[in-house]
Amino acid sequence: MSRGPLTALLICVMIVSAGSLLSSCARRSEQAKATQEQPRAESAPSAATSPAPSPTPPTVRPANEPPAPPKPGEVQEVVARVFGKVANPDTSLSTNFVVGDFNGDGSEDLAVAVKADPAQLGEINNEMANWTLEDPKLVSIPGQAKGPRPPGKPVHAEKGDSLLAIIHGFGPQGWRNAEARQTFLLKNAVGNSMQTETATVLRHGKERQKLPPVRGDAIRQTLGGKAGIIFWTGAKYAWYSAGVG
Amino acid sequence: MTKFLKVFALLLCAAVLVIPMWMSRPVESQGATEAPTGMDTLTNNMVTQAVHDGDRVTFEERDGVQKGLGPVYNAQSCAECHQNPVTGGISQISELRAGHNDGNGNFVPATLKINDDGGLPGVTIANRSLINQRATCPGVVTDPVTHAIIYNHPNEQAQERVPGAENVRTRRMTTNLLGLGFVEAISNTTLQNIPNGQPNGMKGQLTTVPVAEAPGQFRIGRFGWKDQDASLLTFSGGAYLNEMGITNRLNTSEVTTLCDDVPDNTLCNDGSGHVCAEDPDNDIDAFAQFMRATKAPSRDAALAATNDAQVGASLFHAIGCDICHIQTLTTAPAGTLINGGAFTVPAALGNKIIHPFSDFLLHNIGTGDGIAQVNIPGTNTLDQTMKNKMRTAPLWGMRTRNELMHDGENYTRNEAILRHAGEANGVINNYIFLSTTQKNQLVAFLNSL
Repeated sequence: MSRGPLTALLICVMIVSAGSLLSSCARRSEQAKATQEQPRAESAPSAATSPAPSPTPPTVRPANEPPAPPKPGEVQEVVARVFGKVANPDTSLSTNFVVGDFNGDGSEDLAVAVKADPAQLGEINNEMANWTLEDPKLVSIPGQAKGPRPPGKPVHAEKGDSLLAIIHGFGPQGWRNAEARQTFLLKNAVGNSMQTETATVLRHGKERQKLPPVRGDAIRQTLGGKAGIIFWTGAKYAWYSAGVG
Repeated sequence: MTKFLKVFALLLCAAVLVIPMWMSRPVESQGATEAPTGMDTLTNNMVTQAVHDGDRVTFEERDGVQKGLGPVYNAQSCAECHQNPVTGGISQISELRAGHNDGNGNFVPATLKINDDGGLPGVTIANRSLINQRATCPGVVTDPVTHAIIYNHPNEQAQERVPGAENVRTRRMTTNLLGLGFVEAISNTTLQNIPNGQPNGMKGQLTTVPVAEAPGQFRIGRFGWKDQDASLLTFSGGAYLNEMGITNRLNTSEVTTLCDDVPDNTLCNDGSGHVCAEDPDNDIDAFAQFMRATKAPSRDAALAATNDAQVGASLFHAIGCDICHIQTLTTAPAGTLINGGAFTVPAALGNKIIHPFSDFLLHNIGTGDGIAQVNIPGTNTLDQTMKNKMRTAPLWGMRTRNELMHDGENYTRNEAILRHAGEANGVINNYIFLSTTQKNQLVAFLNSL
């Protein structure tokens, strides 16, 4: 066989192979292009892949385990935990604390009258303090006629003020839990005959039509000669007296 | 000829060698890049500036009764509630929601009557927690040019009033919309993976919500205080009806037809043959496109550069705020089909790094408003597990906000932080143990966002 036809055959095979390869490449390229142009759909939400939602913090105490009645020593301890040396329980009152689930989260809270150490008033009024200082008479009630929002001037505790500290409970131990520190400090909120009124009574009792919506238990007392309740609005503690007997 | 064939064969051989090498060239880096930020009205390049400006005009457009405003509504324009410091931002405006709990403690949205004064039977608006603050009637409106009466309902009373029995009530502050195109472009998977990295007791709850423009399709919710929306178009259509009372192709039924003159069976002007109701020009598309083309909120660069803000940023991380207020998320790659296949992530929004300081999930931090707002997927039953949870507020842009938390009830950063409880209890206890100086540094950081 001469070299000419052999070369021609070789060239022919190479052309066919190359053509085939090129064609294959072209097809792959088109396919790749098509794949690139086909938008990738995000994964559809699937209940199976969704972690279970975080359970509501364990707050509800088993019904058969009523909280033990508070002891003054425990109250003193909690006040010290929250306020350090800045404030102490106001021992001049016959009843200086009550307990209840005031914010309605299922965990027992403590409301205790305290007096600030006159030398520590700056700490009590510190804008960056660890408690929210407010006057419940200046707090508006959701869905009702608005009070002054925001208050005309920041609330300040003065020397000799008796302040109502409401310390929110955390978990089944409630206010006794060492982690329970959220505190609202109320000025003009310590009156006479302080007692806890349960949410059930407030929602279903005779006065229910007159009362604002309540989220938890309330503190019933007489302030400035008027009977009323201090209750949680969902954001703050407010005073409500109209129609409260 | 033989020589030509030889040369041709050699060239082909060379091509055979080179082409596969070219074909197998590594794909260019897929690294994510920072999303553009700014408190401005400039496009993020999803659309041209001219298109973005046109969409903004539509977003700012003030609608009246002739357009279909009301009968019950909250505002005449999107920008009325979303404006600070530029169109698309926040505002001091809040909306009101209400309902009650049934005997089992389940939330039931409010039912109320309008037009029932003077012994009239009234019109019932049922099972709706949103209580609109404004109404178009009683009202008589004249054309400012011709002075002819164009709306004449002097005796009907559409104003909604909360009945005493609807005693679960809350205010909800309007949310920031800047940068939401990037949030929409976060994949379901990214959001679904977040709780895996959160400690027990702090795992966020996901919502799965319908995509109105893709019937039958669902997506992980991320917009609204209850994560009730996943798509900006769904959100636009819902807000146009619920906040402005203007029906549209995604929501063709009015809340009430009392004193409503504009028909709800008008076809779209685009010739599609679809019913666009009171929105024949499909303004909802412009609203969604406007939001998608906004930049992410920028930081206060001068404050962010201070030592206080930088230490505050470290403290924010150290005490655990960023377990829920997650600093950084990355959007899905460009080309990803989202919203049940109704939207493709464009290059301007794809593979972008954003810093929203949120996980966009629901948590119980003791501030829950008691309102359930999202149905269990595929049912008409409200998911009651969410009623005392709120979406983690994205903190980007928070320096433009004065009234804090979902209800705007807190005026200082410290107060707002101290209001966190429940799932956030441990983190807040860490905060409580900071010194006053450190707290101020943390607040400086927040004020730089």
